Amino acid sequence: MEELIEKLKGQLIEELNLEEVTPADIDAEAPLFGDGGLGLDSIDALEIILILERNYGIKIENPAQGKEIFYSVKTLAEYITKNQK
Amino acid sequence: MITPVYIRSTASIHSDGQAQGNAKRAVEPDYKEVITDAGLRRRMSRAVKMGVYSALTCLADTSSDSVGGIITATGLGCLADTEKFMKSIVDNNEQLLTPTPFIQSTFNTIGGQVALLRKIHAYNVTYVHRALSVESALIDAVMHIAEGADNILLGAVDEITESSVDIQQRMGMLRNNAAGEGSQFFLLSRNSNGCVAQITDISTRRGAITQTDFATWVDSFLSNNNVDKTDLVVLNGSKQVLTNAIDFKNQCGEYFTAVAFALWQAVEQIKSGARNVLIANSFQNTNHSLILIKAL
Repeated sequence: MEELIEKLKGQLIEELNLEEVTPADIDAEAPLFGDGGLGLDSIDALEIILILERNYGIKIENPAQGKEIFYSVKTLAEYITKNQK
Repeated sequence: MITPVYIRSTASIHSDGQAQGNAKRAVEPDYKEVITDAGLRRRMSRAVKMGVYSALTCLADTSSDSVGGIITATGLGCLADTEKFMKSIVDNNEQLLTPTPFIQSTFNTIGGQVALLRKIHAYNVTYVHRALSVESALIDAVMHIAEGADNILLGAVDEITESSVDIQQRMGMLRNNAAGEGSQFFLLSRNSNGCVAQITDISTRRGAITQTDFATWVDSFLSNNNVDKTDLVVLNGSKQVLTNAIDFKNQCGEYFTAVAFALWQAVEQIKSGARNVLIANSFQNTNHSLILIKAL
């Protein structure tokens, strides 16, 4: 899981152009969206959906689950671990 | 002759004239100072950052309510994001395309971002007319001011990418110049109070032109504006021979909106004491323009 979390941090930094952020700056349990975390927005959510589809072959079938899955890097990693075929 | 418009403020990001390979890249500032929102900045390509930075710098002392329009010119637009988006279409077999490069690759990205950041709810247009983009934008700005706008923000942006330099070189578009890039913005006004220079006239032509025809065109343009050649600084971006002219593309390189750099340089010449500055520009002996700037 730790390895996947670090990999995800790197992918988020690269795909979302988080130029002033390093993997060490990202708290795996902090919220990705809104205040108190990375402060991502709805366009970033689309980018993350594509990271999951392209890199892990995971499609989010139920959009209502999005809030829960995208809460933090850790929740993303847990979802990938459970759903990757 | 046109309705005179006055230049209130200018901002420029341009090359220092040093070529790296066959490209003269702009010397970029620390964007954080002006584009303070890191979330916004991270999505911007170099062209967007250069454009937004110079536009906001140009507007620093101006209230948004007094700006009657934002008119931008570009030859190739936000090229890096366009390339990124096109590459992504090919790499991903037209599936799963990320939204950001598409959103940022449209020609009006820069004008749109400036309007959103400064809340300028006015006319907003981007001219993409190859090497006459700046001239078309300028003519539009002049018409808006003639119709009553107090201020118009006029700007031009083009960026170099590795592949664009390569393609332009292979197509013979650079004509012994290095490829260039840059961003210039000008706040044009109806009233001369507090302004630094006046744009007096502009003339454009299309199609191949001989040295003799070019010289006749310049003479007639100057004569129509009662300008004595002995009291004139000439900024030349054409391959035509003009007496005592400064080759401005020697500094900024060759690109579709290079004439905007010359306009910025003309204002600097006026600030240094010149009374009249003529900009003569040609791109591939196809698009030609003359612009006359006078001291107030």
